[in-house]
Amino acid sequence: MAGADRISGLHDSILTHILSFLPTKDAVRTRGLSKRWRNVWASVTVLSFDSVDFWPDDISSFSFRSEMLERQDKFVKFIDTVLAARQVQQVDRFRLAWKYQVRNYPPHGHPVRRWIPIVVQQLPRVLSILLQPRLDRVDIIPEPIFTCSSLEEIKLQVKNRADHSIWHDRLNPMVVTLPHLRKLNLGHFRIEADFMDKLFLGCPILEEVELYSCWLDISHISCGNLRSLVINGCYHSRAIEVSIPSLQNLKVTVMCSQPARLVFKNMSSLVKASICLLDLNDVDFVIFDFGAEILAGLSGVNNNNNNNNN
Amino acid sequence: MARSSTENMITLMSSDGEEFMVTEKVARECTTIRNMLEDDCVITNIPLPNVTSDILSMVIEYCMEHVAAAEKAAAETAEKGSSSAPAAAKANKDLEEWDKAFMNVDVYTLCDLILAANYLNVSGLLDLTIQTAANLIKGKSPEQIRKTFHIQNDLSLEEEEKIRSQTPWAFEKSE
Repeated sequence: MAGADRISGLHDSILTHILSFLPTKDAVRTRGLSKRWRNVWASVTVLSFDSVDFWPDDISSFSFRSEMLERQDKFVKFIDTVLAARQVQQVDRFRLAWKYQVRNYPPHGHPVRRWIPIVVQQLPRVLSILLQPRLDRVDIIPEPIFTCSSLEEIKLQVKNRADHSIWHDRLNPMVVTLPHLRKLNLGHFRIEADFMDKLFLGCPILEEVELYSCWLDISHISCGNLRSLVINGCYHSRAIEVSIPSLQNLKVTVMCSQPARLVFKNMSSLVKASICLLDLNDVDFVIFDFGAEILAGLSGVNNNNNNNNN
Repeated sequence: MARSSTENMITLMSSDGEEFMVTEKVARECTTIRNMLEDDCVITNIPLPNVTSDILSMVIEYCMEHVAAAEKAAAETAEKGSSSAPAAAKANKDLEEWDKAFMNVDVYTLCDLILAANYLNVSGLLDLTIQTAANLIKGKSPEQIRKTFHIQNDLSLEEEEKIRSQTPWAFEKSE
């Protein structure tokens, strides 16, 4: 008994369930096990592509750019082949993490712009895209994401590879219609008022928003239904008024060098607030002043959790 | 458990005719059984023709452990008014360790547990067993996976070569 092949006798739905817990590269590799396994992978509805399966996070081990280019082209070919060869027209979750992009793509010629339209037609619930493009001003994120009605969770991070770059990709879709979106996480984007307005209008049941290292080119955040807001290491040059009566959880991490203020108003549902001030220059009075100002807007909070990390 | 005498007891019968007496609370961990109980609340004897006694006893062991952990956490919250985060984190870690030790089974038993968790719809156990099976495949070559699960390679050399040439990147190591 213990030496017999039990797994190959399991129903297809269970085998695809097992493969859905794996990076797509591992799932595809099971094609080579036996005849039983040749096509199982093609019905998996979770796709997870990670560049770390093709090159290590530490790219300093590559002495030749040509070797990196070769590996990255393989990564792109891999995703193209998988998307073309699948046997079901359904994707439940799609995850792409592409670090250290070496090759330059022409404007609007980034491979992501041909993958996403394929994926959003297959009614994904969860979409997670992390990119480190090579060039400034790439405008990679394609519009169809913002009109994909099946989406419940979106995570987008587009971080320019050049550390000195201050350019943030703008998010500026013509239309935002995401009737089922509950969670949104955006990293390294320039967020403008027009996008914010479209977002809150087009996402009627949005509950959780996290903004990470974004440039917030807005003067206010006000929304009816939000329950959780995280603002982590964002930059803004003018004061932002945050007015969200439904908000229960608030977490803010700011640099003391941040020139403008966040002003909180109408936060009557707040249960838990965490304010973390990061001070790189050790200017204590700034922390004091700043913290007091933030807390002034947060009256009625049951559980205040303040950290000063020097 | 002292309180169990006052709770409803349910008898689960395995495919080989063995009977297991469990509290209704433990039985309800299986969504399939919960649905039966909700359809017919006087039912006390449930035959499970798809689950053998050795696998059923393991499923019950899993459900009992998880019910006990949930009850303990609820009791602590009730006592102190709110649960302390470090205590809750430790309890979670203990349960994770228990799960890990529970998964120390041969692959044949693992597959039977997946089938039982799927049939009885015990979502925690299904996730745990599926993840364990996935971990045995992750990062492994086809040869290693065949060895682990005792899979016979019935592909001809030509077929194997064709599969590799269609998706060569899938068979390369990441480093």
